Amino acid sequence: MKLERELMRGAGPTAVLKLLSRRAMYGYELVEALAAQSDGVLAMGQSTLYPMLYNLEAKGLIEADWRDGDNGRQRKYYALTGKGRTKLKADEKAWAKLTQALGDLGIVKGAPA
Amino acid sequence: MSKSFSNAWIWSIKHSPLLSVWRAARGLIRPNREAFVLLEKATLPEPINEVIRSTIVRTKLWRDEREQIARELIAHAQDAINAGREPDQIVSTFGDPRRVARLLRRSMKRKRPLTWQAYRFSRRAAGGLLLVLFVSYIAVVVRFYTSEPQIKTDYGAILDSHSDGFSEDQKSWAILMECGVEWSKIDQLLIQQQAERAMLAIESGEEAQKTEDSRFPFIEPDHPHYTEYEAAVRGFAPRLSELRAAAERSIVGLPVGYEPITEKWEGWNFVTGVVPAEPDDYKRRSMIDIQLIYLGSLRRLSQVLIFDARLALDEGDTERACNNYIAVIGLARQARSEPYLISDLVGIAVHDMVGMEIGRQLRKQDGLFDSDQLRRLAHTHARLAQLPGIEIEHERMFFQDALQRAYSDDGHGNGRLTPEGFEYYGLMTAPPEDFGAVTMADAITVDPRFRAATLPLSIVFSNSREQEQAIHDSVMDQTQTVLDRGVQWISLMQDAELIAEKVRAEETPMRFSFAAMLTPAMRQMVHRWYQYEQTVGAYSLMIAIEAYRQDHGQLPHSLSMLQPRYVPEIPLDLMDPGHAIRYRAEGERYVLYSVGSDGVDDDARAPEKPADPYLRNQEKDFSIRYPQARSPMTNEPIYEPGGKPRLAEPAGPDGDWILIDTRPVPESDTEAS
Repeated sequence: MKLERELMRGAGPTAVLKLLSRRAMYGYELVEALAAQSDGVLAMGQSTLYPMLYNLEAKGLIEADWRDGDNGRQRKYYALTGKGRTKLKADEKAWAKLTQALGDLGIVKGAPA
Repeated sequence: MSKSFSNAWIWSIKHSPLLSVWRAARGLIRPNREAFVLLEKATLPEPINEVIRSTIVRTKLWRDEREQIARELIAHAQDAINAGREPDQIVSTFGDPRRVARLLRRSMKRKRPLTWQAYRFSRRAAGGLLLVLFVSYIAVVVRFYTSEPQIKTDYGAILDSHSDGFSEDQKSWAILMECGVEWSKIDQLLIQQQAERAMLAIESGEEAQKTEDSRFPFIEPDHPHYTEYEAAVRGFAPRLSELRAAAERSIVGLPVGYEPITEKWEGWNFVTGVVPAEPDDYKRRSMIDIQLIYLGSLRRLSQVLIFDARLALDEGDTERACNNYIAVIGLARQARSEPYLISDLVGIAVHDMVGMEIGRQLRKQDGLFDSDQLRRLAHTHARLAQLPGIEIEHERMFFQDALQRAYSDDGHGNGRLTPEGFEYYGLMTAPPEDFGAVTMADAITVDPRFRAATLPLSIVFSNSREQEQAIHDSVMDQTQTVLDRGVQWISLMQDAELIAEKVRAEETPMRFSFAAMLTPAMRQMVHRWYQYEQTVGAYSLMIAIEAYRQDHGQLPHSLSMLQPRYVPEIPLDLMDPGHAIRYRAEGERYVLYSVGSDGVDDDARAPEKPADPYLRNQEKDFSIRYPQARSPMTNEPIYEPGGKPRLAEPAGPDGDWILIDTRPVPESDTEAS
């Protein structure tokens, strides 16, 4: 199941920030990780991912640099900045509250009451 | 070099406006060059190659930005191929290149330097502003061109109604105009003769006499044009008889809508006839266009009567002279009875002219008139003197008529300027053709397209109907207050004048005001009225004193001796409330005077220096002067607790205001000015 565009617009950046909080990643790697780790729910193509990455970069939440990859080709790696980390923490709290609220309403099953 | 300093350098180079300009300019020449080179080197399967190429081209970004995107998309595709994805699958997950390009363009632009962001913002703001201005302009244009004046009141008919109830034989206008036209032809002939004579004199090297008659009728036999005027006036005698009879009638009564036929000659305008305007044409006209054609004739014929009186006195015919004076006073009364301020002022001027002339002749010769003649003069004079004060209500009508022809009407006293109003204003400000000046209307009608485009802006820059009415009302209300309360309040007129001056100062080619243009100089008018009111009282006394002298063979010792037989009551000194005009007999001579603005009796001594040359009485070397005190901080007028204006110089000019003086003329003085 894939999320609707509006939901993706809210959840996508937080998911990307979360993945980048673990380590720096390149574009294709992010696509794969989002699809695998969200069971396809947060899967996104290049058309969504790269504009999102550029927006996050423009806001100073992530930074990018070209590095040599293990196959000898260059890849652009994205990493979380200090500002991005702060934003991620704030987003996590917001999502927790949202999940709880949705749980209270019975929309999200198993959410902490 | 510290790391932060180094970072600052990098930041400032990356965000340099010059760099932005360079990057943008570089993108204009082969913008896809680097991106296509990378694609070529990557050797991706053709479908993938094509979709990336198509996306890159559509981003329309700077050259280096396209290169960045190309590198990233190529790397992504290569990773996907390495992961075992089929080209078709990669292309299908890529999405529509048009949409992808749009998203990439948006997000990439957000990464651009601050200077570029500022430039984009200012460009958008300017664009937005232009749009707002354009939309506003269109709204103004629609508003302007869809508005039209509504003429609801026929003020011409209201004006004409003042002669309701008078029969034609009670109106003097027909005789006045007939005599006026005939004398105008004589004037034309005389002036042409004088001009020709002057030309001949110049050609033969002699001194030429001026072709002007500004001193007529007060010219003496030694004047170079005296003989011509004498012959002309004597030849005009039958008309003067008609005129004397017409002057006894009740009113002038010329209906609105008559207009003169004029003949121009060397800058002079001579009236050669009078015709009624077509009724429809008259209705289309405003009150401003109403030509008070009787006024010129009335004033000129009064001068002719006075000149004829001089001829009569030279012949010893005091009866004819007296009848002429009575006729002039009658004409002055008729002018003052017409419902126009300008007519009132002409009546005042004519009355003053004859009053001073009578004074002059009495000064020359004691016992000039017999008792009966003096009684008739007194009676005619009293008939004029008892008329009410000047009337400014019709001035309000003039203005309201102008507004109804220029502004739309929202039914609540407000409205906006209309295209017709603009034309109307232009017509009113247009100077006579002879001046050849460029008027505001001319300037804007140079190019019809420019005119059509700029005219609507006049409603933005000009006052609303309500504002114009308020400006005019404030001046007229102030004037009415002064007229109602008396001369002691005259300094209020400074406020009225300031209001009108302020509006005039704000006038520009795009901002104009009917109030500024049509509000008369009320301060001068009020001054003139009080000067007149004071001197009229003195004229009554002058005639009464002469009558007393005829009966008693000597001057009265005091003015109270004139009551009640010669005057019903002694006129008051306007400058000294509650007290009569001062009288001082010196042998067989006497002087009548007011104490003047300082309120101090200086024994009939005129001030050495007049206060305000513009406002001074023509011959009496004096003016009514009550300047109002103003706050030094705000320049606002200061009022007493009761609302009365505080005077800046209560003392005023030293000296008395000499009204009638029959004492011997000092040798240094000339007679008439």
